[in-house]
Amino acid sequence: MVIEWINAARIGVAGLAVHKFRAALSMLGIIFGVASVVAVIAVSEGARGEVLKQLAALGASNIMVDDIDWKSSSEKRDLKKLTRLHSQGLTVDEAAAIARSCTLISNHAPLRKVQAAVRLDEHPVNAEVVGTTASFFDVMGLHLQKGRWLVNTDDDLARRVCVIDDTIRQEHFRLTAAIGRTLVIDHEPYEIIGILENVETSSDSKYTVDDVKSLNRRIYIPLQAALSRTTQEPLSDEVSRVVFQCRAAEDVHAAAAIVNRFYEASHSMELFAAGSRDYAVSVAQDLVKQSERSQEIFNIVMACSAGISLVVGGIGIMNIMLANVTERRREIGTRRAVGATQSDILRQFLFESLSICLLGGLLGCAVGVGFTALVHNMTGWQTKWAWWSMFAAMGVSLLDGVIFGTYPAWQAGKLDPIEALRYE
Amino acid sequence: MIASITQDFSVAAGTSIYDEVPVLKIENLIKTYGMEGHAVTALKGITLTVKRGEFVSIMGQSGSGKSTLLHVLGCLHRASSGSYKLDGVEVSGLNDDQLSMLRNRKIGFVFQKFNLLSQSNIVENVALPLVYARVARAERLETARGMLRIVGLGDRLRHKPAELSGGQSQRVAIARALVTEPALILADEPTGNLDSRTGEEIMGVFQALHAAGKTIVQVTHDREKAEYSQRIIHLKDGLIAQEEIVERPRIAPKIALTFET
Repeated sequence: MVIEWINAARIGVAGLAVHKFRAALSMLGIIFGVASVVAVIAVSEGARGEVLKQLAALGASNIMVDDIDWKSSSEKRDLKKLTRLHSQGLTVDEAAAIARSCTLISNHAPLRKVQAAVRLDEHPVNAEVVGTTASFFDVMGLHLQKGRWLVNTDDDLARRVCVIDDTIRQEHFRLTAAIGRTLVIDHEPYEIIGILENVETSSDSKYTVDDVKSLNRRIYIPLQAALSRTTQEPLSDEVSRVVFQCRAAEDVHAAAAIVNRFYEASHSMELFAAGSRDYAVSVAQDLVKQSERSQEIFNIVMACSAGISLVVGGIGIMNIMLANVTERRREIGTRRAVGATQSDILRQFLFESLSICLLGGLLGCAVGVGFTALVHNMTGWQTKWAWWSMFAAMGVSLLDGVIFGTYPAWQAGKLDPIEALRYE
Repeated sequence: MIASITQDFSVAAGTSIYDEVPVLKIENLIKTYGMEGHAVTALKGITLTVKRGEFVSIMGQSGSGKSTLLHVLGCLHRASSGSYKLDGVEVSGLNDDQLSMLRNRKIGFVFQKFNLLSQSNIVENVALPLVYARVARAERLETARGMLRIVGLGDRLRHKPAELSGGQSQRVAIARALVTEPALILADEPTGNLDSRTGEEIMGVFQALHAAGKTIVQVTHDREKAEYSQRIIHLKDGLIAQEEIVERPRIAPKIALTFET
């Protein structure tokens, strides 16, 4: 039994050599099909990797409560004035109270974004200034490169110290030590006490949620310094964001519901506009999921087109194989005359189409690898190899060979040997 | 299924009357083509026996049924009725796979147009029947080389068919027909594509094979080529019109076939 298959494989592969150019042409469909499957999966795997990185950057178990800024529309500015009477916005004490009373929450960190000019020796520094507390370090899972992070006393005393991101160090302190130097933030000098490791995020912005974009370009100062030393409106203890960290990532939605209920009770503005809120609760997981969903749609569309090209490739192979069978009738007749059975002939032509698919599949993998590299270089999208995608594409192309090769092979097998021998 | 015929073969080979079993024995063979109503009867009842070691020619006009007879003898077609025993095996009633097996083991075909596979070299061409006899590659190539040496092409083993003359191509085809040591060599106008001198040479090869004890049946319309054989069967309108014993066969220039085994 084995020898029959070995012979059929050998003859089938040799059959390809008869019409090399034709075989190559019929291979094209498979090559492109496999290449696009491999490339699409590499791109989508890359994007998935990005999403996971972002989730890690935002904290998988974090709940973010943001102050909604109504300054953008004049109508709402009036509303804001009114709400001031009822709500102090997001406050430090309120956040601390929520964190204390909700057992699902293990830690929290308030943030105050400061619109302030930053200068280093009269050179402007492009950075976002954020006032926060010692706990932010743990909540966001940051890592220090050098120096130290803010401590509670920095906050209590509103010390003029700051911690910078590595991007800023690279831009301004490439050759000199950063620690001990002074940055002027809103006309006040702040001593650099620490440098953070950059958070690993994606290099392209295509699938990036907003919160990740500003990471790595921040200057952190004590929250009290941000609240009292900068000339920002409002001058109260209002913060722009509070990050709550849950004990377990599974509880994040339950905790978000509780946090939401707290704020609903204390920030009620039903008097002014139904359903209006001056805060927004979001969960890092959900933000990432949204971008994942749009990515999924892209994947499905691409996978469909890749699948279609594989089917079209299969039809191309069937076409060529039918032509081959017709043209090589005499050979079939001769083989039948010297003792080939119908199934010998069927096997031979089946192996011929299978070897087209196998070779096409291998070339397609190579082209796919090249194409992915091209995509990566031209668009900057992150890509990632998935070995299973190659096996899957090869499997599909071999299946192609079987599905679309069987009919021509069957035709070849059932040719009447005499008719076949008569063929000129 | 295949195993069972192999056994049948060996029973035939093992019997003591083996030498008396004719290579070919057909009785009242009828072959009808086409549908009912439009049926064409190509063979209308042919009875013929060819003994081991005979060299027989079948002659006839086109339409006489000689091609059909060749196809039936070659197990490429089944007869509509009548009996056909090839080397003691009843052919009628065998299925397609069994017929393939029979062609492989019992018959060596020589075609007018040689029918060599252009993509393979001549050793692979000669070894082709052994592929379907499930012989291992090294062994079948070795056997094929030996067969090519016998027909005098031992110095051209690496050549492709396109690089050979017509006479050489037909020798390759004869080597291919011999490679499974069949009971019957069936030649269809073997000199039809050759000039007369080369045709004579091929007849010389056949006569040498005949001398070595092979059984040969050739179909030809060329009286001169038929006279190289011992017996001529004349077909007309699907019947045997005349059986002629060639009293003094033509003698082709002596061809030395070196049977080593």
